[in-house]
Amino acid sequence: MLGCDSYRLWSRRDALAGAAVFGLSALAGASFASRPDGEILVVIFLRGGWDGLTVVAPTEDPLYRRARPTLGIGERAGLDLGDGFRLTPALDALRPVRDAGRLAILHAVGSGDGTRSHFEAMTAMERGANREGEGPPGGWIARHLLSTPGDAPLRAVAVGSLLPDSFRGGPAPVLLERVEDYRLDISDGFLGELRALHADASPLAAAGRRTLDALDSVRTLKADPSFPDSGLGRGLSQVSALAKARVGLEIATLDLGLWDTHAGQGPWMSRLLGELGEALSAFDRSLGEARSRVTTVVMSEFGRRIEENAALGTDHGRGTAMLVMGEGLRSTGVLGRWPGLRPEDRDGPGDLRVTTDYRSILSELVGRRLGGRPEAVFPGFAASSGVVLA
Amino acid sequence: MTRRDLLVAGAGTAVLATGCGPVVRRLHAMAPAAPPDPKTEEIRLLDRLHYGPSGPDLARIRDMGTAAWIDDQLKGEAEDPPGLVFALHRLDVLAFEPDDLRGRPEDEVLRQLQSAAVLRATYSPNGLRARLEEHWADRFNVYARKGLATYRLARYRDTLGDPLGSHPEMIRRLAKSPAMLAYLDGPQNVKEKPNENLARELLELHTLGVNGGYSQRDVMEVARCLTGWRLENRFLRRRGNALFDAKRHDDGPKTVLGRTIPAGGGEKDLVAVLDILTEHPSTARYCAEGLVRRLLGRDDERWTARLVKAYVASKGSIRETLRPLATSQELLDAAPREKRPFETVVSALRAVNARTDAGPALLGHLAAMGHSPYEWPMPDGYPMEPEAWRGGSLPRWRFGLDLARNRIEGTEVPDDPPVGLSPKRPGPDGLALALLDPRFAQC
Repeated sequence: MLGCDSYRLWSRRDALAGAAVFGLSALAGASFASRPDGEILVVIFLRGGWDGLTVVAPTEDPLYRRARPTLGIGERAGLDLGDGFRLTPALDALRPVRDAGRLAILHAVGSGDGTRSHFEAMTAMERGANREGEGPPGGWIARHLLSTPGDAPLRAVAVGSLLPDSFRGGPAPVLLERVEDYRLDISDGFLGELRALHADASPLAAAGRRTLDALDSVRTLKADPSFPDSGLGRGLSQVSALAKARVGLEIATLDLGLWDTHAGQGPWMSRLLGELGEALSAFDRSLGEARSRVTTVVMSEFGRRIEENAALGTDHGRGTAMLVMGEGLRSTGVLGRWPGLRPEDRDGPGDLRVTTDYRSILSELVGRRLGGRPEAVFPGFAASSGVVLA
Repeated sequence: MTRRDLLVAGAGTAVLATGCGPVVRRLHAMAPAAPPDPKTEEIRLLDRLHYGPSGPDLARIRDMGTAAWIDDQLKGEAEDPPGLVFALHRLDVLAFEPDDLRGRPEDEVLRQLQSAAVLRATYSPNGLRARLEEHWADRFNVYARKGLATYRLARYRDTLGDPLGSHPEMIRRLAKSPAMLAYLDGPQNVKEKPNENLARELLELHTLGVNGGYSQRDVMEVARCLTGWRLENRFLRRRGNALFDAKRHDDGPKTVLGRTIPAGGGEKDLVAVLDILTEHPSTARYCAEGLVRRLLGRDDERWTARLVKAYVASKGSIRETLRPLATSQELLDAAPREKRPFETVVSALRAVNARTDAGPALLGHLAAMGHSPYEWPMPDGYPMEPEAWRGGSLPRWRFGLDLARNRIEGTEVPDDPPVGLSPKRPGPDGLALALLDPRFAQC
């Protein structure tokens, strides 16, 4: 559903900064330095609603113990985050990253969507809206790509085979499963002829040359074999290679699915957390110096019920944890405002209230890291600073 | 019967190939396909008014002469080759009412609709008609992935009617179409709590245009006129049709663009307000501007003014509005404009005499280029500015290579010489280079 007025707060006209949409566009004929050393935002979406109360467990709260007799994290297990919270031991692989000051942890993050529906909540987040049915219908990443100039062919990459909704309504990202996908199956002779065809000064030829240059840069890239051989591991190894190759990458998206742990959450979630932790830690290691310009966000559409259910799992909830990895972050303690687990503190009878809008984190990163325009990307949302950046 | 539905669209000798390869090849060899001179007047006309030259259409234009052909294109009533007709019949979702499509997987329905769009543009002799269909699909955009829109799109297209016909009539129909009503929240627009989405887009995108001179008050008043229109979902009734619910309608008097609609109009308010909108001079202008942009590839104040005159004189007939531009030498001589991916794909298929089922493999290329029909989320439709499309060299090149090398499942490229292209050497590489040449990316 398109909410009437909030949709009007943004249009492609606005995105092109008031220049005439057609013909006299500010983008016409301009050439933008592709940003070989530009900042990069990596967005990892955990599909299914990950249980924030396991990831960032309030182990000293007796209400937590009572709600999670089986699934509860032990009072001495995992990394002590201070303030009565511990990071699940399943994410122990992230300890070095945290010790190095490169991991920020937030809790009680979410959107305004109270439906507890995967579809509605995911769609709201991919669209950068408060709720499904509000705000402009395209994706938030699409709005960023439209509102901030950049012409590198590899500016936006979606790891996977399906176009994420966050890109809809904007320039298509490069969809790839492996860097090796970014190739043309042609001989050197053909390549030479193709380049010769794109020698003149026209914008089309210039765009072609940029693609040929990007193909050249990526040609010899191979993904780092030191990554864990998991879906996310393979995906992040591609992103790492692209980031270090300085081809103008600005946004990369990845998915890690199946967090919808209604039953048997313990071993299931541990496995997923293990994959997440190992892959993120390998990513941090592999980036090396490039770390200073790569920021990674790990988000999910909602959290899960405070009480565990009879199947030793949890049902759909609201507020959940979010992780941000990178430099210059507020990397101590647990960020956000803990709402508490008492009945009167909850959202509905069973859920952790949302006290931080997920857009606060994303808009701060879009504005201060990518040099973008948060007001164009998240229209109607008043961004604040110092949410996750120091 | 193999999965590959092969089509041969030859002037007067069209046959639906049912997998009888040798027969098809012989028949195709009989179709006239003499290599043309590069960029003759005929080819340039086909570039401008169709989706580029094809063997059969080149023969047609040579037979009829250019003046008669342009007139024929403006009429848009030439008979589609049987091969195309059969292929479209096979896409059975096109024939069904939305309610009858329940239970069909959404992706399957959408793919059929997208295949139909590609097939029509590729094989119909009515190129200008197909171009205008693309134009209105953007202008009056409905996003397949919102709600149940996919299921309504075939009927939506029929509802809009003749893309070269009456512009005011098209607007009257779209405002009442279930697809547009649902897309822009018409059913949520009720007396007690008006929802302005549809009213706003009607003014901003469909009639007067954003600079057409309407106020926020006008938007609200138009919304009031449109209250009460919703979709049938009552028990035991056939679902999905638009119907007027008087209880939800704001029946007071309204003032739109300075004109009054008296109270008590009920469902007639819709027609009354649309008449006011379509009679406003900005509507003719906004329509003409869009058509000039579409055909010339740039804004042109002089041509817009000429087309406005033709619009007014013909009371909004799209074909009569286009006639001055379509018949002009200036259109022929105009500087090339960059093709969007849909045009790239269709013009390439035509140029290489491809026989295609426009199935998943081909649609996949179009999706990689970001131009799948009906998949643009915003009401303003796929962008026309070339800047929006320039980042996509790699998917375009991949398509050209796969096509030239005959590697697209469901699409077959015969050995015959291409139309309107001059490969520097024979064989797939020569053809690929001609398709990847930036000169083919514009026309």
